[in-house]
Amino acid sequence: MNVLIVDDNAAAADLLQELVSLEQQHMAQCAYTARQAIEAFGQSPFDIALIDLSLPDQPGTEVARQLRAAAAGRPLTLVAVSGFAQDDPAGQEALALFDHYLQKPIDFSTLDRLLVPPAAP
Amino acid sequence: MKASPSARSWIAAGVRHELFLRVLPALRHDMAAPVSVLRMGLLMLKRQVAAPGIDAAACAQRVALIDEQLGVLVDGIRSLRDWELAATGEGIGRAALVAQCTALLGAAFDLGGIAISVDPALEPADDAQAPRWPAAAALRYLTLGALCHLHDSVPRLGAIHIEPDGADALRLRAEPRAAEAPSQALVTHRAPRSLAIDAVSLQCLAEDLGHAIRVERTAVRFALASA
Repeated sequence: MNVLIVDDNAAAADLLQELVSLEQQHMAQCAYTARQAIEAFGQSPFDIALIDLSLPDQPGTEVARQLRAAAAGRPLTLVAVSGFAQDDPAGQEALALFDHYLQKPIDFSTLDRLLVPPAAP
Repeated sequence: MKASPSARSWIAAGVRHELFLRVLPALRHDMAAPVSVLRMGLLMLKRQVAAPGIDAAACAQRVALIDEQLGVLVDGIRSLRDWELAATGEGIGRAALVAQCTALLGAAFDLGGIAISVDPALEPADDAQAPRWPAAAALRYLTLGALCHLHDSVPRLGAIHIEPDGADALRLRAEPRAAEAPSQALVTHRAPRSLAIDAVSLQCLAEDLGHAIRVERTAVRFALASA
């Protein structure tokens, strides 16, 4: 799978990229700002985007809106990744825009399940 | 029945509790970040030391990252003491106070479509020579209380501007949302908030903490020195 990791915490993003690429054999790319994420999405066909809700230039929810629009109906799994719990006000808004919600620290077994490609029809 | 002095103190205690609950997600977020990095760093380090040929330089780099993130986590845990009114610290500068409080509420407000703008005169870089105000915890609650009061009470709120008022006070001013701006996010964010920080609650908090405050329809002004 092609995975886009969006997080302004560069250490966290880089480590997650290593884990996803090395342990799970996926193609992963990091973006550290909302702008970088939107640019990267325009250049590569990603299957899944793991998006931190708190980014310096735009909220993660706005990135989700833009990526969904740019996907134009192509299958795309959007995963909110945040230190905010799902029932915090910030998390509640994300629920409507994302397919899944992962609270930091990430549960790796849950992430593994999300990174399984959909079965061919 | 008129509220007794004790009842007003209980109201103030309730407001402090509500404010702490509102910033708790941000505090948890700040501490979850280093824990995330620590866990992933350790996982990668385990892989590295289990490999047939150990790359000592890569392992050392990984250990340095873990050490750094552990420091961030320790600082986060220590900072929880900042919320205890009884804690005696070295006080806080006005700009640092504003920076801390806007960082704590900024993400949640932002997701609700409400911006917080800070006057350039309150840039933290200008704070080094500025006076430090004692009772930092009280000032933290008061600043958060003022922000949350405007957030909860001003209809069609678009932004809150924070500016200095003389040498020893802060003024927070609500600005309306632009007519064309979408308001759906605002509704989503504010709907679950049933316990609003109204003007009476904010007054009780300020009195209990010993600070003079003036609450207007779309602005709040409070003194940094206790009365």
